[in-house]
Amino acid sequence: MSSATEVMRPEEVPQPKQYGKPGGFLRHTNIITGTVSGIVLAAIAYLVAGALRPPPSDENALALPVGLDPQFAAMYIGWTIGLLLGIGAFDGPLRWFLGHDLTHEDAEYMAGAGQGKWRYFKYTTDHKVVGKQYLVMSLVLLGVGGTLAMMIRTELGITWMEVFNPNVYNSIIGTHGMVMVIAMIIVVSGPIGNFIVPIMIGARDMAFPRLNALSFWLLFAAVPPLVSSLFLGGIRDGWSVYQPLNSQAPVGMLGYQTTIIVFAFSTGIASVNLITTIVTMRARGMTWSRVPIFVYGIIGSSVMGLIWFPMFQYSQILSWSDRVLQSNFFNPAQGGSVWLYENLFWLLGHPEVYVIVIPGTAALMELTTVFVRKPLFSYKLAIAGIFGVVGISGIVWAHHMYMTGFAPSANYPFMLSTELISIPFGFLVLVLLGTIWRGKVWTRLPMMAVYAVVWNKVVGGITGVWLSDVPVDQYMHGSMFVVAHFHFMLMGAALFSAIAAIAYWFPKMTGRYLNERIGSIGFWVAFAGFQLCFGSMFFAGLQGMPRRVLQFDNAFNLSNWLSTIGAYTIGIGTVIFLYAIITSWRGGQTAPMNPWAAQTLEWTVPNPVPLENFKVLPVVTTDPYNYGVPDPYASQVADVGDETSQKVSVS
Amino acid sequence: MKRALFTVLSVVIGVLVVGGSVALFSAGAQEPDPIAAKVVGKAKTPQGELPHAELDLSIYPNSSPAVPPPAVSDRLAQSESESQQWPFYTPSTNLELPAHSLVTIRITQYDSGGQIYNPYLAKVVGTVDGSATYDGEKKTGIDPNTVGHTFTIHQFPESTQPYLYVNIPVPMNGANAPTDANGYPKDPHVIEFSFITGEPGQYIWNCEFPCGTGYVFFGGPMQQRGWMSGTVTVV
Amino acid sequence: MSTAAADPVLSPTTGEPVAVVARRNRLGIWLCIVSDAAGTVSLLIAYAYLWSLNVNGGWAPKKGAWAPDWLFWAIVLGMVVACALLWWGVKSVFAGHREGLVVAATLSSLLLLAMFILQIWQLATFPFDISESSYTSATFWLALSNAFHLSLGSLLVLAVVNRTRAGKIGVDNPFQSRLVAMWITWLCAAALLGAIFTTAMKDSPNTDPPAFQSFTQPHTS
Repeated sequence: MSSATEVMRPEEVPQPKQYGKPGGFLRHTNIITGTVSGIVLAAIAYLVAGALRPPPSDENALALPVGLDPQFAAMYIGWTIGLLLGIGAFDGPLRWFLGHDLTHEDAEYMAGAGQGKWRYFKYTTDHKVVGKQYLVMSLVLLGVGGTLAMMIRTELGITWMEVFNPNVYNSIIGTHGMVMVIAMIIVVSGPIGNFIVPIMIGARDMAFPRLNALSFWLLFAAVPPLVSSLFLGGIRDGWSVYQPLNSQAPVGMLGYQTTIIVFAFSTGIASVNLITTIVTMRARGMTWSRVPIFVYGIIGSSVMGLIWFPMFQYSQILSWSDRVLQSNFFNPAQGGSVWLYENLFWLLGHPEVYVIVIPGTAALMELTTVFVRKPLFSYKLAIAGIFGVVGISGIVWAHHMYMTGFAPSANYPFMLSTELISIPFGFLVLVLLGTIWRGKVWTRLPMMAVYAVVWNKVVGGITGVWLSDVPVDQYMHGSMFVVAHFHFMLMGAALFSAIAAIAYWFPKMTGRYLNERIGSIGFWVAFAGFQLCFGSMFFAGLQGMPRRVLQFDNAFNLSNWLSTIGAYTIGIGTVIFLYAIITSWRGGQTAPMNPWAAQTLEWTVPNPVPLENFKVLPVVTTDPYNYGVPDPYASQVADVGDETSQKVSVS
Repeated sequence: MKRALFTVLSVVIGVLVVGGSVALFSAGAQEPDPIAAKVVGKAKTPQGELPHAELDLSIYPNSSPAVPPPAVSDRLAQSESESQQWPFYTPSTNLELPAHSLVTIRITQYDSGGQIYNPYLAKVVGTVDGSATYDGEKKTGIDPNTVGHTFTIHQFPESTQPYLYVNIPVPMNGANAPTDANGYPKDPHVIEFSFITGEPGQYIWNCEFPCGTGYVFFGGPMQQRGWMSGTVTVV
Repeated sequence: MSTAAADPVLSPTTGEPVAVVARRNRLGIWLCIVSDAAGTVSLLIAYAYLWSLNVNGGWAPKKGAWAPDWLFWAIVLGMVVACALLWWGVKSVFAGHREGLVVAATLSSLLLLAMFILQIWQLATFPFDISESSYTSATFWLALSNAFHLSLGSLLVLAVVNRTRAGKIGVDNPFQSRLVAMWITWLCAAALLGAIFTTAMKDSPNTDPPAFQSFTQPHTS
């Protein structure tokens, strides 16, 4: 290898012309200018659309999408474009178009160099800043979704009166669902994927740093429309908002549609970036058999997001079109089909479960090797499991539609494919158990979460196999049993995995230890509450209680009371855990570079991680799980004397 | 100790956030002020002599300066201009009826209508003799193609509720009926019917005709409490 | 490539050879194409699904006027020529002739712009309203999607012209022109698929579709 080309410092390379001060237009943009610009453009778009709106006539009086739809649609478009304009997202494409390429100083400014904490509120390209932005955004979304969950359980627990108007209750249900789905999709891939993965593979940054910032700020743009929909009629039809309810709902539905459309762009961009980074920017020597398993999890999740998210996006683009342009994709009276919506929706809607679960599970595998001091049990089986799930995830969607009447003859093939996916998914649990088996477990908070997740995943997985059976689904479909099942997967497996991942990488992300005493109290309180809340919900479902109802038979009272007590317990545990995160981040005990004596590359860089991660790019000579040697520290040889490379050898 | 205190404080803050959110959104659950049936005397019924109570309701196709819309607070309601075009029952949809009584309700109907999806709902069900009086004429049902609205009392799902089910189809006014200055028919239909209440209990009632907006006309006023649906409390 | 391997051009922002950055960008473009293709496939699924079901007999346009085929194919033809021109320019610059790329990309961008205008004209002059039937909705969106593609494509090729003239794309750093050409090739494929669908799938094969009585109840009250 030519060391001159690999390690040439950018500042030594001939630089293009510097236009103005480094950073250019981005020096003047931040979250405030973005938000103000978004609000102003939203208001202008709303008013202009109102002025251009044709007056009602006899011809269009009976058309379904009447009212304020065009105005609110324009408002949401205005908000999104305005925010991106005001935060500076279009600066890069414009400069590229004009040929005003970035200098190294420009790039450093955009990465946040010398801007202190303010860089977290700007269009900053450094992957570590973006990772932390994602972390805070995930926690905020989990807080909002969790508060809505408490409200749902309050209504269902107070069985002797109505706490909310039925419409309000339905809106709370729908908003809770969508907020939590977004939060869960980003909670591991966003913070850990952005912050840790580039360092883990020995890269200086992501492949496309500006796209990285764009993916976060698109997410930022996507959230307000969703929350605003609560005040514009709400999402009253569950998180999946099937057609024709979608087209007939109040204007708040446009907020939901905007959120998904924008969020899908964000996810697609993030997926392109993560895959490209991992495929093309791995350190020398990091062959595919030496790539940490967490990185495989991120690839698997990104591949699914890349292929299936656009379909989900189009389910909403076409729904938006039906409302605003009065097209007929989903209106049966004019040749549309509601099944088309369900197909497009579930083509991502189900793989999305794996988009959520796979990175978390891969993170658990990663950290289990560290805390058990053993190599990963059957690394290849784990990879097969991840890509088996990725492959089969595309042919299981219609199990959500067994009872809709869409293609009854397809029910059994979909039943088989759904049951088939439990095999690669089972591999992942087996790999976890095999890694723990006969290991000397170092029981720290992340490892506790592994036990919790294995239990939750087994319960969620087995009940999922039951529900995938057409005859069982005929009875359990639409019941609280389904709700309990998917909460065991999406919360019990995925959220607890995220807690483990955050606790494990917390010292690297913040330079401080997470307070494990308080964190563990919060964790176990939440875990106990979770079992009570959703365990009871299984019984309500088995008794026949339908989901998404405000009023129900007295026979279901007991299980609902228990569920509500469990939910409040989860709430208390979560708040305690959140407290541990915030206080530890602000003033926790300082962590050394490698507090867990782990062997992946992210633990070879100092805290706080320097702007470009590595002074010299590392060279990997063995796989990342050579634990079991007498002294794990002795196994790390950092040949820092070599100016061209930092050798990380683990044997 | 300090940490424990702050941990508890965090939980308290969490409780306040959830409690505040519940309070904010539960404000929308308010029903309009109740209207009680007036006991006017005693009446002979198949169940013997019972107290006799009466209640007057009207159905308007939209609000106007002369007829204000329902005074309900719903944070998720549509814009005011849209809801001005919604039909509604007035003076209230929150009804209080005496227990173990003969209740007579008079509905004055000013709205138009059309075909009801389920013809069963064009039949009179649950009244004392299975009939109702339409503009002075006794009937057991009306033409399913000329329904304006219905007044339909349902059980709450709770299994301990005393049984009560009443369905009264309300006929439509013709499109060419002469109207007053506010656009309401000058000669509205008047429907009178009587039923017997049992033990005290909570019920809901609603219109079953698709007279709303969206959701194939079960949205808008059909979704909002205070317009085409409400509660019946037997006290 | 004509540049000397011993002295590669380096990226001013990362210090890596631009060829390394180009390899990375090429994968990025491939992935963008995969993602955009998934979106286009969604539209084609919608078109084919509604065509095959003919729900309530509502596939065909109410007034019986289908979109003329020739316009779809004219746009595809224009795009293919623009794409071929761009590839010719890319080959020129890789062969060491920067001016070839300037000329080819200029012509290509003008042609793409003309196709964009033609696409907008088609959208504005369809012999039906978008709300007339499911065919009209699906066709409208295929055309709208192509208009979006064309607007983006013509801007990108125009940027290639601009950057080549400014010396940012040249014989020693020609890679970005190839990335744009890859993207334009995909846009041609997407337009071609749209043209095939709208030409070959007109009358629904379901001649006895389910009828759902009437979903157009009078809006009463």
